[in-house]
Amino acid sequence: MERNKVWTHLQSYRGIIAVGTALRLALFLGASSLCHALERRPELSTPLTSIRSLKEGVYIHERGTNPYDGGVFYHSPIYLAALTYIISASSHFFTAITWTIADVASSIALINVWRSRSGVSNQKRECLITALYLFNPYTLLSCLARSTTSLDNAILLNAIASAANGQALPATILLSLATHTSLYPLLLLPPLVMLLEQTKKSRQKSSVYSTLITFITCFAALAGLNILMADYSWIGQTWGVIINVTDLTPNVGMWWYFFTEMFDHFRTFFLGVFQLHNLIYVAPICLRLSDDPLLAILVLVGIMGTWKSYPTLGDMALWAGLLGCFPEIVSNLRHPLFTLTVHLYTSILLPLLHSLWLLTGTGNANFFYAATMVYGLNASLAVVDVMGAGLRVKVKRDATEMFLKEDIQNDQTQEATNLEVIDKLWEGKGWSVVQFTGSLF
Amino acid sequence: MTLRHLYLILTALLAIPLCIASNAQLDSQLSDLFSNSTGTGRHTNNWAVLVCSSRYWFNYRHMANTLAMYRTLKRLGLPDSNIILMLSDDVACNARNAFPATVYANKGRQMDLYGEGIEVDYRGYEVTVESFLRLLTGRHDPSIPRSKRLLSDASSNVFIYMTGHGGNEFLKFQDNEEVSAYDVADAVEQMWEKRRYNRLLFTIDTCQANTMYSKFYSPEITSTGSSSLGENSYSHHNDMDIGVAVIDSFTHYILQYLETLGKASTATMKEFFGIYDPIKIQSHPGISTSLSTVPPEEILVTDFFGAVARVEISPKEDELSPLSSDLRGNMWELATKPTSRIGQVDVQTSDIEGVLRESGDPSHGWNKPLEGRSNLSNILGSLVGIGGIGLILYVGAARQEKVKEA
Amino acid sequence: MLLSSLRLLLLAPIYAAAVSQHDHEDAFSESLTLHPLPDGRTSVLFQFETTFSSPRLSSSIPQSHHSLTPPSLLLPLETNNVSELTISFTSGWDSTRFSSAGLMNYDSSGGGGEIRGWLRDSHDVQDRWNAVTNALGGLFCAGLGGKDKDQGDVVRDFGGIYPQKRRVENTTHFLLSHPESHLCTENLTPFLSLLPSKGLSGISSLLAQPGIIFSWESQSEGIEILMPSTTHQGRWRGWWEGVLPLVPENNKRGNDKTRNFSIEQILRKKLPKPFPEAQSSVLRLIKDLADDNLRAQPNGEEKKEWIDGKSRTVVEWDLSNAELTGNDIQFWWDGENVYHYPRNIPPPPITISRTVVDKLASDGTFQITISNSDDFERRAIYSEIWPWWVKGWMSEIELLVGDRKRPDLLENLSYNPSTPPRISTTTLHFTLLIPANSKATLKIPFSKLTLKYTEHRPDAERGIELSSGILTLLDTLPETASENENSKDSRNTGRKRIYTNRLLLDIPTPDFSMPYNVIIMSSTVMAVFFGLMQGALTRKWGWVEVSNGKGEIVQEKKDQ
Repeated sequence: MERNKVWTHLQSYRGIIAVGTALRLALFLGASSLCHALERRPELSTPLTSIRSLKEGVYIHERGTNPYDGGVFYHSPIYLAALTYIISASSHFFTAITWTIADVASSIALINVWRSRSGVSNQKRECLITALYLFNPYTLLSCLARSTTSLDNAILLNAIASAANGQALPATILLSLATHTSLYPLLLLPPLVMLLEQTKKSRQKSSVYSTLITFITCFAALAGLNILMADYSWIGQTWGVIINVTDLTPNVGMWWYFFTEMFDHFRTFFLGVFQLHNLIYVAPICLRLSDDPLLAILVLVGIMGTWKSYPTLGDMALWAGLLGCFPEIVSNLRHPLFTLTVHLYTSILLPLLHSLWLLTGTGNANFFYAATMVYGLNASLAVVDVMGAGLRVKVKRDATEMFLKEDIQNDQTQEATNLEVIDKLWEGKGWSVVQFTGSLF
Repeated sequence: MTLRHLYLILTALLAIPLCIASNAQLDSQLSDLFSNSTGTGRHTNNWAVLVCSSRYWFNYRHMANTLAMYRTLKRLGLPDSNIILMLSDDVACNARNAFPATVYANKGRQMDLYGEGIEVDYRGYEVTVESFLRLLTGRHDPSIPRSKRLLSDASSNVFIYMTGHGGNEFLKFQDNEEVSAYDVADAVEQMWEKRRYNRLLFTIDTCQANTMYSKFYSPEITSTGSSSLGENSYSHHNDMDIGVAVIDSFTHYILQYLETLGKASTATMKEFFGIYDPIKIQSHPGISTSLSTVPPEEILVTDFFGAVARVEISPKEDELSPLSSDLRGNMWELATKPTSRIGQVDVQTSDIEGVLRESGDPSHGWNKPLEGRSNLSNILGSLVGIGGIGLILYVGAARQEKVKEA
Repeated sequence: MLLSSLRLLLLAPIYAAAVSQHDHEDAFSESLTLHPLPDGRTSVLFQFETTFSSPRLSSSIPQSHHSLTPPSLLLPLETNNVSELTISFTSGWDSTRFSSAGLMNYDSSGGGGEIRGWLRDSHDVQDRWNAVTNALGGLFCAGLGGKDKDQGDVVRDFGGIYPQKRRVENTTHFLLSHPESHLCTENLTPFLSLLPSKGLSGISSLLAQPGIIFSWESQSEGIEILMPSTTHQGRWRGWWEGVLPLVPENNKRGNDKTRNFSIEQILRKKLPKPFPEAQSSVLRLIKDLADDNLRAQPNGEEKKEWIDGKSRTVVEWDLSNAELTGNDIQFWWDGENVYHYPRNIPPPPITISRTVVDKLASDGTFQITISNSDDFERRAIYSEIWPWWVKGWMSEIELLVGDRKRPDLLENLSYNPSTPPRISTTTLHFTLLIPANSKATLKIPFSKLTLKYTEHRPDAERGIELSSGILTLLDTLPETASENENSKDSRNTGRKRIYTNRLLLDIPTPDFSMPYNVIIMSSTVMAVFFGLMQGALTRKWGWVEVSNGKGEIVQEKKDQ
């Protein structure tokens, strides 16, 4: 009886969260040397997100020097303040708890996203989403490495969850916070506003303008606080570095080697190209997926996680976690197995080739570059796959709806939105979605 | 009144011999007095840029090439201040050098090229394509000291010697970057436009060296290189104790020849080029004289390899009225724009003798527009000048008269 | 009578000025100092000192003071408001010198080249410093200027380490370190040409032999200039120090395995006539207490002197003594038939060494070991200069004595981080206590930042040198503080700074043949992604019915 009760508890998402928390705390406190080793991994934390740099910055700040004066500290002043005044950066225990809480908050946010998206409370699916996020090795390792990516992810996921629930104020506040800490979430502002428009409840009179104004106010307020703390020097040392890519420490992204090898006179041009490449997708995706802003957010998060200037595996974890809220897309992916196996492959390749080059000094830079190329290409193809799957699902829904409207005798109209029903119907009819070569317009 | 007449007569008397003597006699007398009788050019100073562009111990021979050239120039009288020496590595005090602070260019180690005193103007990491091109064009940061600048002018003969590893139309610097034949040609054109040389001798010892001067298009350049397109330049011999090759063939034979010359030598560039022996050098040295208005047999070797202490004697009338300076300005414009540019003649050693013979032939038509024009302008200038003197004297006399009358 | 006395009174200042003018005449002195070291080597130090008084070159009084001091040296300094300047090159010292805390000449810096000085403040003081470094770099045939146009590699916070020798208000200290530079004939030539004796006569003629000088184990060259002021004369001092083994390992002198030497043996020349303009021209031999049986023939004048924390015997020969000219001086150790290299050499009171441990291609830890063999605690500042690509982790610094962490000994830490990606320097100053008879170990973890392809040197695989670390002792006392020798100890020394060796750090390099490949491949991945996204976003979607393999196609345009 008792055992049964525990089992049912474990089957609920709360149980999964409890297990995830316990695992994290156990590893943090029991295998601190592992955590210490993970902190130095370039796959898990870049100079912009590593706890080592953050500790260094806090150390310098505590001694009354502005850490942004030298070129060694690239974290947001928000993190600097939080780890100086709220929790001590040097305390292993308190930081461990903070990072565990961040992961838990992320997983709860994911459940909220799922609930508001599907409109139903499916116990099994919720368990799956939580487990997929909390036990994803990328998430777990990022958390153990205490990369601030985990914190960024928690803030961003909660912003998305709030938006999905139609809570404009928390959504904008959290998004402005996320923008402050890692800049790229700014690209999610348009789909987030669209999402808020879609989900707003009648009693709320939120409009696009008021959301934007809230965002700008919040953003300015945070900037003001930062300026109070570390005058203006932080802007160049945080966002400036993200934009200008001045620190070329190897990471899993496509930028560092490109800009290491770049000729000086072309550097600015290619910086523009690479940054615009991130920016360019926002408008078309928002237009194309205007009826499903959450899907737009998913695709944009994927693009950001692959193409931002300092990506980590934690960014991929965020995307993978968010993907768990879209079961209809996962079931419509073209090459999920390929994506997964290449991820496994790169997760072996990246540390191996990195250590060959930078630890033992027996390989050269091309080794690690090749691994990041494989990783980047795979992540890019996965994003395209998700995009295609999203559009495919949409076509299926529309076609089914149309078909059911024509066939009035059919009494399945209510269930037209149920995905399993659609899939069954399509299988029976022998239909499949295709992409035509003609242009949309 | 009588005084005025007297002045006029005096002026006329003065003017007649002046007119006659000014160009022919006086000039030649003055130039006999001041100039180096062995010089053929119109230059008054000499500059040399010696570049060794390769790094590392195993390129010892390139350092030795350059230093041997440096030593020869100094022997022929060029002061250190007029030699810009660029050495991209330090073999003399290299830890691998068993004979510290010495560099030898022969296997017996008879002569130390580093010697008791040496001034290396650009050394080690300072030797870059940028610093070389800046040196030629004179575009330096204001804080760069004079010792690192090529302070030549329109009456300088500039000798550029380069050695290192190269290829078709490029020369490697420090195993890291390259200077292309086009870059050098453009830099030299800038030098010409900025009147930084009177005549230029470009000598290069590297693989496929002749391609390096093939892009020159500025006037008054004589160039020579060690090997033609597709050929390597080989080292001459090794020293077993130093452990590396000590000198390149081409430079070795040039130096062997220069060693026979003294400061007062009257040997010409034709003789210099005449020593090229493709069999001994193991490659085909090239000569390009097509851009020079003066044939090699009229250029002395010491015009480049040595310091001609020559004083420029500007005709007396040059310092006169604005009219004459206008004339001279026009003339300068004419001189800087060669009316006819002779087609590129790149010479391989196989035809050297032929070309040398041909160039000796007056019918070959070596372009000498500058000479003619300058003679004409000299006469014009002196006439105007004398007129001016006369006018001044006349006015002076008239005033005297007035004063008297008052 | 009254009138004449009045005249005298009126003219008195003029007389006085004339007299003082006479006092301020330029003077030159030269010396050669030999100091046999306990490890079978000897140090040879040439010193040339000139005092000069040149109020201002711009003044209307015609200057006739450059007979002893070359204008090529003074002009750039006068025009650029320099009040003090020191240039020092040291090469070969790193590995060979372990019996002594440093070179005999206290102003020699650690390995490599260094230019440092005090400039009077002006609005363009940075540009003036730039002009000075470039001018003197040209003069000494060495690239002494900054690598960076913005002078990011110039260090300004070493004024406390190299204090002014003569107090001048409103001055700024600058230091530019070139650990990669070394010494060769091209540096000796301009040095000699600055001397009034030009390497042709006097002691400088012994120095003008590059083949001999550069075969020694280590060399150090330098000049120090104090510019004249209204109250003081100017003074410039040039030095050249070398260390050579007296018993060479490949013994070319047959079976002669003693340390016996003579001036002619080490310098291949007899004693020269002093430079005629020199006020003094001396040969000096410094004998340690352990070298009590060191003898010289002919004998010089002996006296006791307190030098570098120890009492030593100084033997002096005046070269103006005509008997010495053209002769030689022999030195030998009484009763020494065969010289054995000592197994243990008593270390100097303070020694310092620096190594890199935990060596990875991208990371490492500097380990600085400072040992104090005295019976009292010492207080010192340890300073480091790093190029911008060395990123130290201040929060992880440890100070250990034995195996115990002793953060209490670290009194203060001043940290000026560099500002990458600009060429810049990080400077670090630790104020620390070194307990008596112990070995303190300072550990500084660091990471190497990735340099751009274009920022590497042509010989990137060789690595890049790091400047020597400097230990500045804060509790030194003057050598001549008290006449009573018993009250003196090793703290009574003019040697305030002890240098570590240089370090050659290898840095992770990109593949230098890859730029085009990387640009092409990365751009291809980007183009593939862009193309696929564009396809997915702009193409029509529809559905087909596939039945029995034939496929009756039902196309529906999707309304957008």
